Amino acid sequence: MTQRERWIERLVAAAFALTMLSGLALLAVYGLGGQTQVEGVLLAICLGALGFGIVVWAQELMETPIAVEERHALASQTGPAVSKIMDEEAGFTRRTLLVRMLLGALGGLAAALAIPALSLGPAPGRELFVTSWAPGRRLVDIDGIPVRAADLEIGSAATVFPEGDAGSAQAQTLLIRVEPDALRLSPDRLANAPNGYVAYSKVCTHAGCPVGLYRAPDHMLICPCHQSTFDVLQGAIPVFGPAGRALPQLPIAMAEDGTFTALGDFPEPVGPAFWNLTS
Amino acid sequence: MQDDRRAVGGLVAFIAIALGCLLVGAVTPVRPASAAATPSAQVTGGEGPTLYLESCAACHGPNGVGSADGPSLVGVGAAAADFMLRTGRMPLPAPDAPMVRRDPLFSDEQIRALVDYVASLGDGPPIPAIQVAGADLSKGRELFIDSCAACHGPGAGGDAVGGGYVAPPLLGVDPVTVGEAIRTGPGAMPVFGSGQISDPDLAAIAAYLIHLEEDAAPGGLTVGGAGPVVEGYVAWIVGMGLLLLAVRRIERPGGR
Amino acid sequence: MRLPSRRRPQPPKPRPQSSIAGDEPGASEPRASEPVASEPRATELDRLVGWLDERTGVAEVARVFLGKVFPDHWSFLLGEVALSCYIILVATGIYLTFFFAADSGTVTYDGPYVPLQGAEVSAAFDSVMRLSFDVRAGLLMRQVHHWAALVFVASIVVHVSRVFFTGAFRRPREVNWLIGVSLLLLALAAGLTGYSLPDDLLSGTGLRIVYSVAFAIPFVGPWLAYLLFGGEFPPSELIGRFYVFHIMLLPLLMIGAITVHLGIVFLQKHTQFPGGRATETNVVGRHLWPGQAFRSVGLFFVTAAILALMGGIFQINPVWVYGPYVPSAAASPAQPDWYLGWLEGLLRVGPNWEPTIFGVTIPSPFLPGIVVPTIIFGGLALWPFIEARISGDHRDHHLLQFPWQAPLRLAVGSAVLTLFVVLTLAGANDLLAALLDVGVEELTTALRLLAFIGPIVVALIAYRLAIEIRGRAGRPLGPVGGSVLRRTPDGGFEEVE
Repeated sequence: MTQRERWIERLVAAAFALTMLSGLALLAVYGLGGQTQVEGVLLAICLGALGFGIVVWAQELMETPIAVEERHALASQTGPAVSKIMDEEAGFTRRTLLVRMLLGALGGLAAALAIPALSLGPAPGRELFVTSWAPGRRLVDIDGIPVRAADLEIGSAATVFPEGDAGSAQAQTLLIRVEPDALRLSPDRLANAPNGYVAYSKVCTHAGCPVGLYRAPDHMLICPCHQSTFDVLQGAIPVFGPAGRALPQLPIAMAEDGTFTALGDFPEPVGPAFWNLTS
Repeated sequence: MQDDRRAVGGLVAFIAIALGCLLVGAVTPVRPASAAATPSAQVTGGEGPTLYLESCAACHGPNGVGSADGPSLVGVGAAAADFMLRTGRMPLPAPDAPMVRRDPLFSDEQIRALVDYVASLGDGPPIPAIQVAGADLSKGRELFIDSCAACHGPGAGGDAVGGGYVAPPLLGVDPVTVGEAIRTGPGAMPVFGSGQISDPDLAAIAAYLIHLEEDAAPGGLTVGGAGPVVEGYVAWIVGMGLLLLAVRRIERPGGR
Repeated sequence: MRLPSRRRPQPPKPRPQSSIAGDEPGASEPRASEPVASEPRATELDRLVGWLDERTGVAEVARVFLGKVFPDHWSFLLGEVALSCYIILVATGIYLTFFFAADSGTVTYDGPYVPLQGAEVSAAFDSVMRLSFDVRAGLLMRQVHHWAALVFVASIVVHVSRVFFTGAFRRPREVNWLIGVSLLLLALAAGLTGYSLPDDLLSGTGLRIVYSVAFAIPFVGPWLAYLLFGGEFPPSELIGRFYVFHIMLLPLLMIGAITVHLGIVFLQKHTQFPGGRATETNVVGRHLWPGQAFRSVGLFFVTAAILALMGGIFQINPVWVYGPYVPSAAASPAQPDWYLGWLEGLLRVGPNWEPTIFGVTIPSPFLPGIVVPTIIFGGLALWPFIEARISGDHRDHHLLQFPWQAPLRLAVGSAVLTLFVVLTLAGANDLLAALLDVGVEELTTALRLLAFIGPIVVALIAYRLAIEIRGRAGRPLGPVGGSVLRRTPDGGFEEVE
């Protein structure tokens, strides 16, 4: 053994000793209650020293000469005559009709097996087109408490739900208060937005994220997921980003006690588009 | 080898600078809630109206009625004036400069005088009194996620919100400033009145922000707190970087 | 198939000692590489192997297996890094299953993390919180698992790039290329399903987007989304279903694909760079035992060490900061893990076209979310066949090329990587805008342009450079032809006349 090899051997031994020690230290840390950072570093030392020792051992202390292995042709010597071997020699008879019928039978089997697979989800139905908003349902916050007009300052927004369905993913709506004469909506839509209180679906028409960012000075709603931007004053039409449709407006009325009620459901489906959206 | 050492030296310097920045950030005193607590020696005199005429009236007009260059200050209240002046957002260095955090221009006394003057122009939100001690952290977290995280991020790291606006990071912002911003809606921010977020809830949100800054990282370095984007860079630079070094070391070119 | 395992079982007889036993530490000095016949003494290990061999004939298999020759270029270890990550993922993942509750039911959190006390959370989220705060070393294991996932996909990408740019996918290795691309897709799916299990705000938002993209496919979208997710979003069965995907279906498919992947490498023998004694008809390198095996095992532990270090030092996916998923809560920034960042970017720079043609609406996420990724992955999978068609080269190749030896391939590959980088940046356009202090809108428009121009420019530059480098050798080549280079002892390369 040369001087160098002796030195390397000690180095590798020291690495393995470090693995032992850090493993024991890890146990001690665990016993004392554990600390994620210390555990991570000790585990890294434990594993790293082991890997280091193994690699250096192989690199420095093993004579592993460069070897040459011959490649052989990959194709089997039996060649392409597999069908011949499988047919005649093996006694398999190919009957065209039966083979075709067998393939058909497999198709039928696939159909039969599709039945449990189809139960993995219900068939899409009317729920794609409607939400739980209905005429007369009050606007409540996520805790089910009715929202009052006085709660909202001009320039603020609140997330509201139909009473009895607080937290609903489909029916979530943003109630925004702007200056009463700022809205630029058609008269019939303006009538559904009393005193500058206007309500839009909070489900982005692009990919369905909650349109939670309200930029007050320029009256823009922004979706945090893909930055689709909707103009609150102009009926929440998309002005930037990948959304292709406006956020549907919820028709609301203000009651005498300052709470709000819906006049009906959204006039069109909320959320991301789907192929038969307009049907 | 020389290159290696230089690289290591650079890394050490970088880490030192980063740590230095962290340290400076940590020891910079947060302004106390009550401006009166620290009487300032640099008062150059001047009553509120005088200061206003000197530094504000050019844009906001005489008596705060506003002009083409700045909005009216009638009815914005003490909270808005205090927020803008204490965070250095106002006065702007130039009329078209962005409204961002700067070192405050005025002394605490001057700010108090100006705030009193603006508050006297019309009714508006007062400077909220905030007691973070004993505030309800659970409530603060819930409200923060519901009302603040959409723009400022769940980790309060801030984010761009389009239209040239940026929701600034909130870690290290003192509780009164947080409360003033909620009540007055500076910049692109919506206003949250006491009907939406009550006064005790202001304290809860402020307390939660302090918690986020101090106690929410049991997992280690938060690497910016911006979520998966930065985590991805760490995975590539630290993870794949170290692994490529390891792989190169294990199969050294020309090695045995 | 020349695997000795197909031999008939041999009658029990004392077998000649194989070289395995001789090199085993404890049997002799580690340096013993002399013929083992000179070692007459039978050790415990020999007896054990003999016992097993008499019943299975395993020693002969092992002898062939351990004698396999592996070329020793560092870039051939990249796939091993991915394999190491996979093993670490399975190991830490199994640990996590002991604590995870795949249950969407609501519970009230009452653990030690104060800001969440009293919050209504799903049982799944609650179990992740308990794992992170109550189980000692639980947070470390969770973080190592997540970092391992990020590094796993990164190592696959680097490995695939190496295979691509060196032409290692060429005949006869097209099948293994296809398996490799499938593994990449499976890894992405495993990552996505894992990302969604903690049921935190970020993962719920991510799932919502995936659901909407599936929803956008014309005619079948809503049905497909319902079948996959179990109903309208947010479906109550989701966590349980994705749990089965994440811990059973996908890992099973992956381990099957990995086995076939490695089996084919074994049968076809590894490719190698030209130079030295390497030719098309041989493999030059180290025997599996001990040189290669020690290095591979060492690499596994080093990989594990790096991941442990990251898991201990860098916080990842702090679900307590995000809180439980609430469908009406949104947080920005909202991004997926890095390997889906380019898909997120596609959605962000995608056009807002949503035409209705004959009553059929084409939702705007369809083009960037379904069509473009299908083209990219389709092109990636079929590239060996496309390239063979273009170059007319249908010969077997066991010698690798250097990237510049195939200018067209280099150009296409660089273009795709550039597109990937631009889209990944676009996936974080909000953060980037805040960082650069520019408007999100302007940045998005710029990135949209860059997604078209960047790849083309990079492709042209790469093509030119490749022609230049190749031209210095003064030898004309086909669009994806080859030239002969020799590896010099110091690791460089020289052209051979």
